[in-house]
Amino acid sequence: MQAAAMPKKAEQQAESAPEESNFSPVGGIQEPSERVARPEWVSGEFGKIYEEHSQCIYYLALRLLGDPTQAQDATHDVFLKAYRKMDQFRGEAGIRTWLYRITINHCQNLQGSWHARHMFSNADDAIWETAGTMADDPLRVLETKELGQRIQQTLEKLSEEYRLLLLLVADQEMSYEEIGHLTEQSADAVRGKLHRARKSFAAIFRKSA
Amino acid sequence: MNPEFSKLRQEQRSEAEQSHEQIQGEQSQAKANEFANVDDLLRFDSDQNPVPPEVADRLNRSMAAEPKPRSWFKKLFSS
Repeated sequence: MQAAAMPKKAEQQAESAPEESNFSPVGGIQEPSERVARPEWVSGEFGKIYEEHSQCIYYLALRLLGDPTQAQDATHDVFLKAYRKMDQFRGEAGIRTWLYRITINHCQNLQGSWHARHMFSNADDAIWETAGTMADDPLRVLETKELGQRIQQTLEKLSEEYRLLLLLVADQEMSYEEIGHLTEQSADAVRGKLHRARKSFAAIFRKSA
Repeated sequence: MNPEFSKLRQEQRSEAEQSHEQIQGEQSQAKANEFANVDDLLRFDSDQNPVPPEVADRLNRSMAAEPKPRSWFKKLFSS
């Protein structure tokens, strides 16, 4: 993968890089008053990584933590960790999978007792088993303003595992195999659990209207 | 025709049209916000929550404060 060779490439760029520039992780031009010294050895490459993956990392953190400020802090911390450990990225999994792993670990640490609540919850299944076929109908939303709140409340009623699986599979770049690799289970197990997770979510979401 | 009456009718027609347009707007909004499945709903939600630009600014400052890592060939020959 291209990202695997990043440190070498970045060093080559750093040798020819000027002492200072308007570097921004997202490639934007900063005002002179906001200029900061350029991190020389990764400049452009890391900016591309941030641009490509920051949205999915922020969204995962937002919905795992349920708080925009904490999600901002988490996104910052995850990319700073990735920047520090870029030489440890071996390219066995995709860079997005690697970033997701850092994010999940980071959010688990923030939530403290995540592992205690990580265990599969039968309560999730009870919800959709009694919901009938309505779970297969489209989800209608009239008030977009309150949508985020409803989604957050619905996710919080699911087990941590179901919540994580739903958020990961919503990222179209993630395959069942990659999600299985991330959550340490087979792709078939992911598929089965996702089926139940989607039905649970739909049933709870409709009730919240 | 009484000009006052004509004006009143015009206003009523205008209000009726506005009301009709408003309902159509609401209907189209309702249609636009119908999601075939949970994945689509969450993708829409993700699009509604872009990363705030402050994160990039903070990261920029943090990265600038980081010590420069040793280059790979120095690591190789110093071990």
